[in-house]
Amino acid sequence: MLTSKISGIEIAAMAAAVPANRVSIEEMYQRFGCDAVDKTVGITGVKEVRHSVQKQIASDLGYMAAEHIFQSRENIDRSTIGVLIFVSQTPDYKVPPSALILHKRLNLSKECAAFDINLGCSGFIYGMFVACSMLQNLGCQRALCIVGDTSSKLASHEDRAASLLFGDGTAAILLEKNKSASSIEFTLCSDGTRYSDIVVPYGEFRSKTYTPEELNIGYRHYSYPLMNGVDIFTFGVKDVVFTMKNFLRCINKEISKYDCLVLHQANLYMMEYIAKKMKIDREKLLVSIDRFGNTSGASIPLTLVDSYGEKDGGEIETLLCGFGVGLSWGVISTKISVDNILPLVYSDNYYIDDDINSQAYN
Amino acid sequence: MDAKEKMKLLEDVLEVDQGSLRLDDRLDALDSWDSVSKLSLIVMIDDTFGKVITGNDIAKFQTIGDIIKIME
Repeated sequence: MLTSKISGIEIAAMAAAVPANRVSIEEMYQRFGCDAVDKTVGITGVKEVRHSVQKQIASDLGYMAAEHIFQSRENIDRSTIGVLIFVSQTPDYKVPPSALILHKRLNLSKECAAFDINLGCSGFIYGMFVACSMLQNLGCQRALCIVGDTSSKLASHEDRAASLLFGDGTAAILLEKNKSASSIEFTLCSDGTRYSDIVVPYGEFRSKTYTPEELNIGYRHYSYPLMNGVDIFTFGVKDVVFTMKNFLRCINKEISKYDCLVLHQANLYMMEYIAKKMKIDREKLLVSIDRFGNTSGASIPLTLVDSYGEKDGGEIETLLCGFGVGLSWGVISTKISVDNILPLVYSDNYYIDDDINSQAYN
Repeated sequence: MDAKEKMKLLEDVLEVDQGSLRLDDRLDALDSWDSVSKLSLIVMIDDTFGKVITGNDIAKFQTIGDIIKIME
């Protein structure tokens, strides 16, 4: 098992932003009919979601989450941020990485490594590990990991399941060097043999290699997400549970010691079954999917912000597990100060990107 | 576990009346054989028999009897 224990780095702040724009179950009933929607709700647990307005994208929400952190911690010198990672599958442009646009908007220094990571469900775990590792090995004081998607813009509006299931949101996590910080423990896993279980077939370079006739084969021409629901479910209840149990054995921790288990918010039925198999009390399983849907890489920090953002004081022992697209998955075990988890931001604000209009290119 | 008990578990998963299923009933003729019941089936078999069946296993099931056969 690939594990790592990172010491001397603290989760100094955790924030998240979701659209103020709400899509309720009543609107879904009108669009798709009661039976179809009730069936989706029954298995996924989603009752309403937040969908970004047309002009708002994931980095807009990420910017607002990050600024919320800066406003709540007034004395942060932005030039001490030496790492900026944006984890998303819904970037601003194909090129350059959105992290650089956020680098501009957040007014960070040139002494900063900024780049994107293309991951979804496991994005928070991987983003945190990369940010912590880089921070440990660079001379800077702080790192910022921004993770999230506007998955609603990835899905087809005709697809009932995707329309209701995907919610938009982006989280921001500020990491700081601190000798007395609790350690953060990680494990990371991959299985590329099952890459086709969650895929958006059309739109990138593989689809450009096909002739029109070749594109008609199977789902090659399909430009929305496709999921093999049954196989992903068995992956969740078998492989993910196996990894979590193995991880706890490796780091010598008992499940009973945790204050909460936060899973990637993909499906309530699956999450409850995983919690049952992990033998953790149902009330320790944190849930945000009912009100926010599947929020991709942001789902774990968003769920923590949803549960603890308005609370004060104390520390929570957390077990966090992101799993899905890839197939990629990972686990974090760490203590977080509740005071460092900020209240949720609701906003439909967006950036007006005029830089490209006035540029001279040859 | 005897055949009757196994059938009852399956009838619960498929949300049909007790005693209404026969071994040679075709799954594709059942209204309730859908993505939701497939997930419930995975959970029931794992819970009861300690094994997680796969999408491939499920794709091969044609009749109620095919499912009962693997319930051990």
